Amino acid sequence: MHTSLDGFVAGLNGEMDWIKVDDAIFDFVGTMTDQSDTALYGRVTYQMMESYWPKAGEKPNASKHDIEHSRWYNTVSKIVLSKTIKETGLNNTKIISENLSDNINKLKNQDGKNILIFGSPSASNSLLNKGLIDEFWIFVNPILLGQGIPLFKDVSESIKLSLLETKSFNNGVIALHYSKL
Amino acid sequence: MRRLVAAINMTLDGYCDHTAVSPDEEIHQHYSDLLSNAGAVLYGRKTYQLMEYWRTLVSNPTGNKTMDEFAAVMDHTPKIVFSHTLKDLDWESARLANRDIEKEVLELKQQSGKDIFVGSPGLIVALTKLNMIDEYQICVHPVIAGSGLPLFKDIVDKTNLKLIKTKTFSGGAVILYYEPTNEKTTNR
Repeated sequence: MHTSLDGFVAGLNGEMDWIKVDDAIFDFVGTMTDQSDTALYGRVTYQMMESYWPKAGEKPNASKHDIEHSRWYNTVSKIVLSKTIKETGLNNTKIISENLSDNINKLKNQDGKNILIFGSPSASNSLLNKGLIDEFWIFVNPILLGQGIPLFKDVSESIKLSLLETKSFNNGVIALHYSKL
Repeated sequence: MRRLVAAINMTLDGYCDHTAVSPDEEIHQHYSDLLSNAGAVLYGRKTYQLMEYWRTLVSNPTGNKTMDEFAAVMDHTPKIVFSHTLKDLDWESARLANRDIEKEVLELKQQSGKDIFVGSPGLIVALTKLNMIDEYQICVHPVIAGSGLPLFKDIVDKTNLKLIKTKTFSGGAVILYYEPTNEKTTNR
């Protein structure tokens, strides 16, 4: 999850042009996707992903990251938290619209690699409040946005974390890796 | 020309209430070292009144070496307090600012001497808006508080920073050291 130093994941109108990504960060995120076989999104992020990644690797000017992430996206199982999207006709995609804890715990109890959530602030907050997230990777960007969509919202009680590691990138982003205590 | 450094604790979700984080010995030691190299530290009324707690430890030491050391350093460090309501201060090392924040801080920065620190959220935001902070040392604690007093409240412009270095504590706190780039874009 990318955030500004003051804790926003996007500007008030969803702007994400301030997020600093480069090959080093893409490669690093690649090591995370390699360790996961399931992607979990909220509806908004899923629709953004779906509009780009299925064909991103086939573009004439596709970058290494486009090709690799597109291949990953098309291979993994996708879980979308949504009350409005219908599952029929979707490729390798399961919609969860109710019983969040039961459904997610079922997935977590299956054998397999990690389940990775990208972006999806409202889905992340629902999962966080139900104690379903085990680890966080927070990419802190060197900027104060002043206003926007907060990373953590409606967290009902204080959650203590354990810092596992940090990783600084040359572009000024620092990734903080936490597990829930 | 002295540098103005903003040093403050913050939760991962951006709150800075003193109740939201619990600094351990290692962090108290860090702040003792920092303050003992400070020319002065700037506080708003609320933070100043919280810091007055440390005076009681000078006359009644706790026996905890780190805490007592921090109290002694806090007692010696010159403090400048911005308040509209306090009329006089009885802590010898503290004085009230006698003009508005911009003029006071400008004059302090033009003097020679050691770095000036600012440790109150309201002052940090006010001085950020005035482009007067030379370095931020944000100590991010490993906790999501959920609610409280946001550190960076009322910032209007997007403010680009440059990450200088980081310092990790064994308890899981990380200090992020930033310099401003003076690149700002307005949100409105």
